[in-house]
This record gives sequence, structure tokens and C-alpha cells, in this order.
Amino acid sequence: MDAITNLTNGFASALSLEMLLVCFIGVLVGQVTGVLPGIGPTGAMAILLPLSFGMDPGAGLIMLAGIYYGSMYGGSITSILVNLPGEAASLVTTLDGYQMARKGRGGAALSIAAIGSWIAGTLAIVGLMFFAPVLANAALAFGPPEFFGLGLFGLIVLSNLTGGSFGKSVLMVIIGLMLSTVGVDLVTGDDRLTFGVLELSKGIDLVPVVMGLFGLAEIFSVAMAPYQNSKMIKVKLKEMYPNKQEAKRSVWPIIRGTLVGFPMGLLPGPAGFMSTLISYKLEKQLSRQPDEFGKGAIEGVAGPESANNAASTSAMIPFLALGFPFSPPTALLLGGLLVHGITPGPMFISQHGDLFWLVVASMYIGNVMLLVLNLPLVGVFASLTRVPVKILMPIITGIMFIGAYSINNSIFDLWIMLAFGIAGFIIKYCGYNPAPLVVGLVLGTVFEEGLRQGLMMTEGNFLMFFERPITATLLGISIVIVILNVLKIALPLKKSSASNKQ
Amino acid sequence: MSKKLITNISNVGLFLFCLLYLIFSFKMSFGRPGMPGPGFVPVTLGVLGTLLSLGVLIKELMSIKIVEKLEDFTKQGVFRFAGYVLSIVLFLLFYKTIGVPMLFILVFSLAKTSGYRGWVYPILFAGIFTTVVYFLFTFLQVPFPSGDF
Repeated sequence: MDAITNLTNGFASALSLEMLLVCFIGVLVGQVTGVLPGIGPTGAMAILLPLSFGMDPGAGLIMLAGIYYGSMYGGSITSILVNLPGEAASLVTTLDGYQMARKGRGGAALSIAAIGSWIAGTLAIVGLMFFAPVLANAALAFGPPEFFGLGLFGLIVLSNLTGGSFGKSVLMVIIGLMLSTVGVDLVTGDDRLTFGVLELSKGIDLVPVVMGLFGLAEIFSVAMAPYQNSKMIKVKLKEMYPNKQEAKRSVWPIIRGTLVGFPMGLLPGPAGFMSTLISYKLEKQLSRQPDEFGKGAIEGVAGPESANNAASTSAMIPFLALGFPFSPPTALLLGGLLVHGITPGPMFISQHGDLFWLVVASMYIGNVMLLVLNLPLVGVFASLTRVPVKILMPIITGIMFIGAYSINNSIFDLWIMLAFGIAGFIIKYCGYNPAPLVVGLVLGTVFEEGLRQGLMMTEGNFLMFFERPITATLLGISIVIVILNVLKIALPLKKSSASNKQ
Repeated sequence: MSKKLITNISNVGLFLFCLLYLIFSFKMSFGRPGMPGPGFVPVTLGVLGTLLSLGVLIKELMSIKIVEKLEDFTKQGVFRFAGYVLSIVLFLLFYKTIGVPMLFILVFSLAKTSGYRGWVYPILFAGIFTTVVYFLFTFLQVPFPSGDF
């Protein structure tokens, strides 16, 4: 009953004109960035983060969260009409969505994607409402060893799920952790790796790093690649609705997509993208017409689109309840809250309950806004892909730089952003994923504090960490994942050297 | 230049970064396991990072892959990238001194680098953008540097 009362209070605040406006701006910007290839939710949130500083914390968080889940809706539009995923989580939708559009059923694919996203998003908010407080209460009993175990577990699982080389992902995590050690040591007050640079004493700020790695690096990639004009399949408003059979075939995929996406969002890593892959595979396996997949099966749109929305919403649970952002967008939400002096974590819901319930209520409202925006305005959003790069890129770069400057009024931050922009462009080109670096940078402080305080508690006996059940479980799983990955690397090497000998 | 060469150069760069981090970490007090000092975590990370980056470097050097040429990077693309970086560096060097007009110069030079032909449209575009951003940020109370002039 408490949850219902709190939610009612949340709605009372979220329905004020100011909150409705920031929610609308957030979901609209999210929708637009989901449509535009090149600028994902992280880049968009990084660009607009400074605008949230002038707002109160609730309004700022509502806007940033709106961009995050709004982009999941927008991504499907270009996937279906242009065969161009606006962001990674919409990649799978291109397989059947675009084929449906070619057959003249693009409108049905778009409306099923929007309705599925809305249902999954709404159900995931219900899950968030009930799970986050329970998890936060459980986490109140956590000590430094548990936080260390959770941090290590998150980073290892993230490296494993990021895709590509496990070694490269772990290296990115380690570099992120290394960067988090720059600045004044919280225990002794000593300067670490600052080289006498005053600006480094407070550490390397998350926002310029994220803006560089995800915003500027993406701009450089777009600048380097040859410009292409995308051809869009047009959809009329009267064709926007699915027929009876399509609607019937979509019901279970939407429910299954939600059930797949929700737990995936709780895990570290690219939850949105992973959940779409799993959902698509599941739908193909369960389908009576598996041959239709890849040729325009509605289930191939309904399942993955629902899954990525459920995942993006449930990703807020570890962030709000534990203070652990396991993905770059939630890391930016953390950055936004920290600027306002609010630290998410186990105490967040009890200390800032009004803020938590305000955000939950705004997410319900934001999802309805997105549904209303999506159905009639799909053509307008899709036409955004035709905005020339020569207009788009200078605008985005300009906003990014003045935005990053306004955070601390520091040119030094802008140099950091440029350095990470160039580094991000190169490392992405060389097959590294920058997401683990960002999460390593964010979790670095918690990780180090947990380890050092834990060692002090146990008088240097690390084995005592394993006497605590939660820590032991988390560390145990982490060790097993590392061993499995080492074996995966070592066994093929052994095989290939044996075949060379033969 | 092949993709493999660029990858190898980047891997060497990451290895050197980790090695330098490790060297500087040794200057901090390590402490002991029961009372870890400020260098405890950096040294541990430095050792792990150096070993891992060396492993990745060796593994990629040993792997026999077809050498991909940088086909997706045209001369024009490289020119644009260089133009973007130079415009940004120029902006960073003078933003604090000149203030908001530097934003106009940044957007103008980026528009030209991105392929805008002629002078009138890029100037108009940069001018309108700077004005809109100036008023939007002033309205939202987001600070700009006032400049020395």
C-alpha cells in the first residue's frame, strides 16, 4: 500500500506543468537521438547534461531519464523505414522490420514496436517500483567487502558481456579504474598522479570523459566516413495500424520480450542490445513459421523492441537502489545527480523518496507521451535522417563544447574531452569498447574504498572476504567467469600449436 | 597504412600508458595488506594493466589476419577529421579570452570543414546557431566565459 501512496504523491508532482514540460523535452530529445545514427542515448545525455544543472534535481533527472528510454523508441523508426539502426539496441529490428516495410507493412511494424515498447516499458516500471526498494533495503546491510565484491562482479560480468575480446574489455575496465585513482586520496589526503596540475586534484570528471568517448569520438567517425544519403520507405497514417492477425501474433512476443529484457537490464553490460538478441532467438525458436524470420515476421519486431525497453527501464534498479551504474547512460544519470549533491545508493530511496517516486511517476507519463508521439509523427521523425551531416555535426559539436565548459567553467575539461574523443575514436576503430572504461571510472572509487576498508576490517586477510556469504558468492562467480575466459583463450592456442606441429 | 598497423600502434600506446602508470604508482606508499596505503590499488592495477596490455599486444602481433586497408577512410574523410581537430584546438586556445564569438568561429569552421560551400550560408548558419545558443543558455542560467574584450 505504501508504494501506491508514494506513487500517487509522485504523480501529483510529476503532473505539474514544469515536470510535464521537462519530461516532454527529455522524451522528445531521446526520440530524436534514437532516430539519428551516430548520436546514441549516451552522447545525447552527455550533451544535454549541463542544461539540467539549472533545474532542480527532480526535473534534471526526469529529463535525462526521458532521453535514455526515449531513444529506445526512436531507434526502431529508422531500423524499420531506412534499414539503419539509430542505436545498437535497434539493430535486430532491422532484420524483420525493414522487410515488413518493403512489403508495405512498415506502418504495422512501427505501431507494434511502439505499442510493445510502451507495454514493456510500463511493466518494467512496475518492476522497478517494487524491486528497487527491496534491493535498497537488502543493500543497507552491505559492508565494504560486499561493495567491493559487487563492484568486481559488475566489472567482470560487464567485460564478459560487452562482446569482442574479453582481454580487451578487461583492459578497458582496468584503464577506467586507473583513471579513477587520479586525484586526492580519500583516506590519506595525498595527491595521486596529479603531476602538480591543480585541476586533477579533484579527479578526472566523468562527464568530459563520457562526452569525449561517446559524443566526440562518434562525430569523428561520422566525419571520417563517406557521407551517405539514406532512402526512406514512406508510410501513410492510415497504414499505421496492424491488422487483427498481426496484433494477435504480437501479444506473446511482447510479453516474452518484457520477461527477457527485465532481468537483462539488471546485469552489467549492453543490456538493451543483448536482450534484443536473446528475444529474437527465442521468438524464432518458438515460432510456428521460423522460415518467415528475416523476411518480415512481426514477432521479430515485437519481441526485441519490447525487450530493449524493459531492459533500459530495469537498468535503473541497480543504479537507484545500489548506486551502481552498470552502463554509460546510467553512469551519466549518476553524474547528473552528483552535481546536485545527491548520491544514489541504498539510502537514496529512504532519504530522497520523493525524488524516486517522482521519477517513477514521470516514467509512466513519459512512456504514454512516447506512444502518442510515435504513432502520428513517425514520418516527421524518420525524415530527420535526411538532415545533412554538414549541418548536424557542427551543431552537435558546438553544443557539446559549450555544455562541457559550463559544468565547471573549465577549459581543462574541454581538453580532457578532446583527448578522450581522439582516444575513443582510435580505440573503437581498433576493436576496443569504451563502455567498460566508463563503468570502471565510475565504480573505481567504490571498488577501491571497498577493498581498502575491507582489508583494514579483516586485518589484511583477504580470505576472510570469502567468509561473508554475499561477497563469497559474487567473488566466486567472478573467479569462475575469469577462469572460463582464460581457458577459452588458452585452449585454442594449445590446439593451434598442436596442429602446427603435425 | 593498414588497419593492423594502426591497431598495433594503439596496443603499444596502451601498453606504454599502463607501464608509465605503474612506474608513477611506485612513487606512492604501498602500505601493507592490513593498512593499505594510497599506492596499494594503483600498483595492483598497474601490474595487472601492464601484463594484460602486453598480452593483448603479443596476441595481436602473432595473429595472422588479412591486412585490411583503410578503405572506409577516404582522403576527404581524413581531411575532415584533421579539420575538426584543428578547429576544436583553436576554439580551446581562445574561448576563454574571446568568449562567445569563438563559438561562432568554431561552428563556422566546422561547417566549412564538413563541406558547406560558399561563405554566406556558413556565416548565416554559424551566426543563427550562436545567437540561439547564447539566449538559450542565458535563459537557463548556464554560464559562458565573458572574454577579455
